[in-house]
Amino acid sequence: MITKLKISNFRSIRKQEIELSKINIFYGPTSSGKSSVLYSLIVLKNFIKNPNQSIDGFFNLGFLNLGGFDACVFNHEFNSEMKIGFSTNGGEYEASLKKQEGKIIQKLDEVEMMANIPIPYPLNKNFQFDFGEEYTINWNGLIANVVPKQPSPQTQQKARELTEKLNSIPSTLDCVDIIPHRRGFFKPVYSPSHVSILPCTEDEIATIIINDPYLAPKISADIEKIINRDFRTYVPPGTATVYFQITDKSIRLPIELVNEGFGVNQLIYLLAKIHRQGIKTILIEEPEIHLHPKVIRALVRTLISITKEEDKQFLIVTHSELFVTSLLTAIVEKLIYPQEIKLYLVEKKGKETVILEQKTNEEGQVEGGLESFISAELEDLKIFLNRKKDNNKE
Amino acid sequence: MILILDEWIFHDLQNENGNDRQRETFQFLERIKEKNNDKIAWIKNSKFEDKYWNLSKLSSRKVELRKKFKFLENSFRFNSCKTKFLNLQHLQNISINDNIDKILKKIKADDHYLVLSYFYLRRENQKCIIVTTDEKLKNILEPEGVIIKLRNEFIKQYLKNDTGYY
Repeated sequence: MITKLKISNFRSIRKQEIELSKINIFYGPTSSGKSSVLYSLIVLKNFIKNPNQSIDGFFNLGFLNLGGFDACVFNHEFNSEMKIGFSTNGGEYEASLKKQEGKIIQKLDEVEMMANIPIPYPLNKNFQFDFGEEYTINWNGLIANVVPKQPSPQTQQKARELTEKLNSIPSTLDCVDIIPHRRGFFKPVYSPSHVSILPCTEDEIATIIINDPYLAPKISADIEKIINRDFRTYVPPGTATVYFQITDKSIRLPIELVNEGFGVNQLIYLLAKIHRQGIKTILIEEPEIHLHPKVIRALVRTLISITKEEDKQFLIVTHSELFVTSLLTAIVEKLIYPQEIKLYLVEKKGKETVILEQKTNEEGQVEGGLESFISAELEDLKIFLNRKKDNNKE
Repeated sequence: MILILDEWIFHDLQNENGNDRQRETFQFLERIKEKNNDKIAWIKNSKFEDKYWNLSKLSSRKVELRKKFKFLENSFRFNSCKTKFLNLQHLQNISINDNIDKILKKIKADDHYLVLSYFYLRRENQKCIIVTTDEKLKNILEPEGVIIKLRNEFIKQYLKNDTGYY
């Protein structure tokens, strides 16, 4: 699990450190910088998966091209260093990016490794560090290999363990996936196709569903809890095409997913990504889109049960007051503990994004309340009250 | 300071007592939000909470009430800095003060939650005050050493930032 995010000079975020728990909610006004928190992790993932590309390539998220370094560096300060890093219970990893060079820092216990690299970086350098007096770490900025200075079965075994620990830190991002705003299925039938490192197109997600024999049943189990529908794949005999079908269990009428309401359609996409094999941390943009309030509440409870049963972590951007209050109600019901939720109010102060943690308590309350959701309604309320004052005068 | 308000707050917000009082109550709630150390007591399973649920039901029918309800929810009920939750069932089962039974016998059962909350908070060394519209209740509780004020007088002082009420 990612326990902390560090972001500097990325889009509207000048400098922020964000503590993370199992379910992390970012809410606040439109264009305040909420999505930037999620995108920063994908930029870092792009860097780790392939540092041998031009700097602008890291900012192509697949589903969205952020336009390169110049477009994303804070306040267009082209000479600034953009830093994105994270901590896990095992250590820390941070990449500092400039237009043509970068710096990587990795920490594990008392070991701190630092490497200055060119960008693009073909992973062709070796940086050596001592680990105590007994071991040497050979590291190219991403992959480490620990060797004992005096080999023996015991020291070699420990070297293997250390290697595994060190390499597990950057590979945490292999287990990160994002569910962007643009999601859903727009065709009745799919055929298996290529799946990229960060699958986001409908064909890629369809392929993931088709290739994983356990995915459709998992989606179906959740969609039944959320909206009383059953989800299945159907392969006509002798073909390599797959139909996605959904059945309203109350009327027993199967239809193609594309003919179902878009709320259900995008939920299938969302659940496919959440249950995708090997994925532990899921970044979701507005899980509530196209959903009725009753369904939003059921979705929150499903996400909580997935967190509990499958040890998954969520970073969620939302504009839904109901999504947040359903989560708070779940605390009162003891479905989840306050410490398993982090709630962040994201606001813009001038050019800068400010991320404020609001602690939750066992009564389902948050420090400072949820006024951001009702700022517009408060304005309306004042109009109502003042109108009555005017009426009195008349 | 914790303000133990009785049900007048809901009657005012539902505009049962005239536009002026409604506006004044809204200003009063806004002022509580501004004062760092002040919050309201929210007594679960009490008449206070019954009135809240009533407002919740009515709010589905009228847009203005809906906005007032959401204001109470998001600014107070969900806000740990502005609302202290207490539970009447819990308060009834703990021994707060030896003299409390004598006091409770003098007042209506519906108002017990105000007195129980007051003595509970005092026992916890929290500054608190009861704000009511019930003059009879004030006359009974004041001789018992309870800090209790009538709504009109209290709000006027509070909005003027006059702390003489405590």
